[in-house]
Amino acid sequence: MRGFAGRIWRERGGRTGVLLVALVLFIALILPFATPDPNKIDVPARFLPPSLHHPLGTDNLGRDLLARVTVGTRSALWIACVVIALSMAGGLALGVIAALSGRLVDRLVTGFCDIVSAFPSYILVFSLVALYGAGLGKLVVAIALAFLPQFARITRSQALTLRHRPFIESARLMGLPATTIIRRHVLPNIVGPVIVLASMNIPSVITTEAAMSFIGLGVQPPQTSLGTLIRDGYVFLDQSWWPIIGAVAVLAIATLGCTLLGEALRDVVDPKLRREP
Amino acid sequence: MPDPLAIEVAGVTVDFTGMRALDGVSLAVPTAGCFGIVGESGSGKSTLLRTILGLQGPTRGEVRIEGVLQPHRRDFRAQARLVQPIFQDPALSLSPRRRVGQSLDEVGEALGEPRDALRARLGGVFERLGLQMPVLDRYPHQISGGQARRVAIARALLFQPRVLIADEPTAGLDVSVQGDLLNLLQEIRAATGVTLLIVSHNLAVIRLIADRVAVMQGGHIVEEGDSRSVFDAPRSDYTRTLIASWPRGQPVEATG
Amino acid sequence: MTDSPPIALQGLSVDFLSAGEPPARALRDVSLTIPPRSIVGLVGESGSGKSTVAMAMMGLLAPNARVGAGRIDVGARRIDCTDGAALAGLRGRDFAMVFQDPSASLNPTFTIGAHLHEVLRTRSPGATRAERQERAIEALRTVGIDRPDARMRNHPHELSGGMRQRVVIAMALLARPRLLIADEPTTALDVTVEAQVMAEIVALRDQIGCSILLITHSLGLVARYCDHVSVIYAGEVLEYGPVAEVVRAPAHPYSADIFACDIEIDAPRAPAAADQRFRIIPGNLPSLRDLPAACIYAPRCRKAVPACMAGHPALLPLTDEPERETRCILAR
Repeated sequence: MRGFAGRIWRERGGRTGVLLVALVLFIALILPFATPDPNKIDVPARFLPPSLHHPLGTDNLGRDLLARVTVGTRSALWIACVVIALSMAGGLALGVIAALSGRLVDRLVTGFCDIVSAFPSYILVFSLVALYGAGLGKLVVAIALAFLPQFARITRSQALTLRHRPFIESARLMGLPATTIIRRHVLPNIVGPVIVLASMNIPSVITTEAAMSFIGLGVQPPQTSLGTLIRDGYVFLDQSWWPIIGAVAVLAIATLGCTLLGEALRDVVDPKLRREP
Repeated sequence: MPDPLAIEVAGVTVDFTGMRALDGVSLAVPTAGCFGIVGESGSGKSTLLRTILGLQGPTRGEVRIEGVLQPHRRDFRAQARLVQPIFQDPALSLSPRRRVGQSLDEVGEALGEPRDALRARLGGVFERLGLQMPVLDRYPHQISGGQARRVAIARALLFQPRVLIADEPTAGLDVSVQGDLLNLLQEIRAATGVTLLIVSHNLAVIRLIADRVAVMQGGHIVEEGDSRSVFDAPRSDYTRTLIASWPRGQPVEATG
Repeated sequence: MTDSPPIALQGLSVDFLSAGEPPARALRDVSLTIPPRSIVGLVGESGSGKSTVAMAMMGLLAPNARVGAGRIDVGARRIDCTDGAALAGLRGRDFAMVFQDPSASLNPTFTIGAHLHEVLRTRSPGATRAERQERAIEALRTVGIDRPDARMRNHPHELSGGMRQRVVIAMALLARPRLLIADEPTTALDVTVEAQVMAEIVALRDQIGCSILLITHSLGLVARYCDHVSVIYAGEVLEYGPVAEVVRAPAHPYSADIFACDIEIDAPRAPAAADQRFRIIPGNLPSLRDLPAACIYAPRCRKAVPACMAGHPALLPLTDEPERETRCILAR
């Protein structure tokens, strides 16, 4: 693993990605121990400019913005991880089933994926949330569904090329159960590209969640996410401009860092994928 | 009742989209001999091999192995003791992420045989194949091509199958080492009485090693019979063309 | 033309470098003489370095290869093999190449016609487009491609492997090289197609009067098509001579051993197929990174005597057959 981490570190952009992601993790995981209560309202201290006491200033209710950004970052990362885990698990399952079952099942699964990905992801998430109501749980499921087809597709294509590899056919002819073959011989040989895809998708998930929360269809107050922070700052933009800066900066750092890291990971895991968009 | 045939292929047709790979092929492979199938690329010999193994389902027709109907793409468990393959590149038939020992232990898993009992049998098989036990701790990419070939054969032999099917066993091998593999197949045949089916484009090898031969072209068997009669007095024009095209030099004096 | 001097490769040595290891001495003092209009076989097994010879002559070696020495005599010129620019000057003019995989010579995005026109633009700069088109179609017809005018508009993937190899031969025909290097030209092809493609290669020689270096592992092809043969093992030529003589009475035990291992279509057979046994050469190739100062084949040789281990033998003519050469000290 040391060699693996070393190769990412040496990959172009990999070092920057690692440092930016480390910064975001620091903001989300370590910083909350050093910041005041993010929900402590202190109306007389509203719209304070950045100072030693409030490094990012305060918002319209006098809450400490640095503290609010840290919890917002934490919930954004947490949501992104849950979403990616859900779409990866669902995509792996659907992709393997499509590749290894009969033609009918394959058609159904690929048809489903085509329909889902025919909608732009924002539109799809927006419609689902509009249909079933706002709320964190529904938002997570809706975004996971929007990102699932990519995982199903890459899994299916990887599994299809594996299917006729001699070591898979040997395992079948040995009479090993299909579940054993999938778990032991198929999955370990396709997780590499799938994990790369996951890391490359994290920034999109974070921005999608932020966008939905921004328009009020995602995380609901008093819960905080980067999207709600940006909205709150946006609403009072004419009174003060700094409340929006912290959340936007973290969003930019997180997406840039995850993208660079994901690209470095891709180039290390599978250099052949490099040219593809 | 006479002994069942090792392999019986009855009227097998395989259609792929836009193309008929096998067209009503029937074939009877007797037990305990070596049967060769020769043909050029596109002749259908690979499709026939995959259909016999059950990896390819026939559009029409059926395959029986030792009298048992080939279930085709279902229930390989019962079939594993009847027939085992030796693929063209045996190194690729071992999982790249598992140690050789782990790959061989899967035989016990498939047969429901305890690991110790399997490892005990493995000793005998390894000895016959000239393999050393330390190979078990290696990954496929850490052993030589020759060793990987023997490991793949060892795995097939652990099933004690009635039929071994070898796909292009000498393809890509240098002349100085192909004899080693062929001798090994001959020893296995003598020691176990297994029926050997070899699919190959190498006429010269099949001519020497097979008792019976089928010549395939365009999804059909154009000629089938005793190896001597097929090679010495071919009845079909295509077989004659094939044999005449084989590059031959002047006879070499026996040396040493 | 008949009196033109042979193309001669002299003393070619190539090392492959890799970090942290001693260099692999892939070719050592390889010499070949290719008389005009003749077909010389360079026969060897995998790891012998036979393809490295072709790549070195074409100046197409991998970046980690280092040419230590070697020169090529072509006509009145003498080219230094360490001089990449000089070798590039031979490529496509004096030397043309047919690879095992014709796709290596064909660009998938260009039509067959574009490939042939490209050759003609360099070889016959004065010709008009119509003249080039006519000559290209004629070349395709010559190598046995039917409906050549239609094929001109096809892309490489629309042709079968045998057809693609014929197109590469047609390109060589138009390039009119002095030497065609054919590296395993038929290995990927079926035997019936192999016979046709070899016939086209021989016809090419007859038509443009070039020499051919046929690099192959197939002893059958050498015996059937070549005039001379060079047997290469672990980076050294062990024997050179006229094919008929070398096949009839090999002057090196390695040649004798691979001829004995080769399974011919008319080989004698055991009364029952089950009793058939096959010849092998025991042992492995020597490591090219750690070569002994001895005969390279001695460790595997059935005839080896202590003198074989005493020093590294040179490639020398046989006393009573001066046109044949061998490295075996027992044959002199």
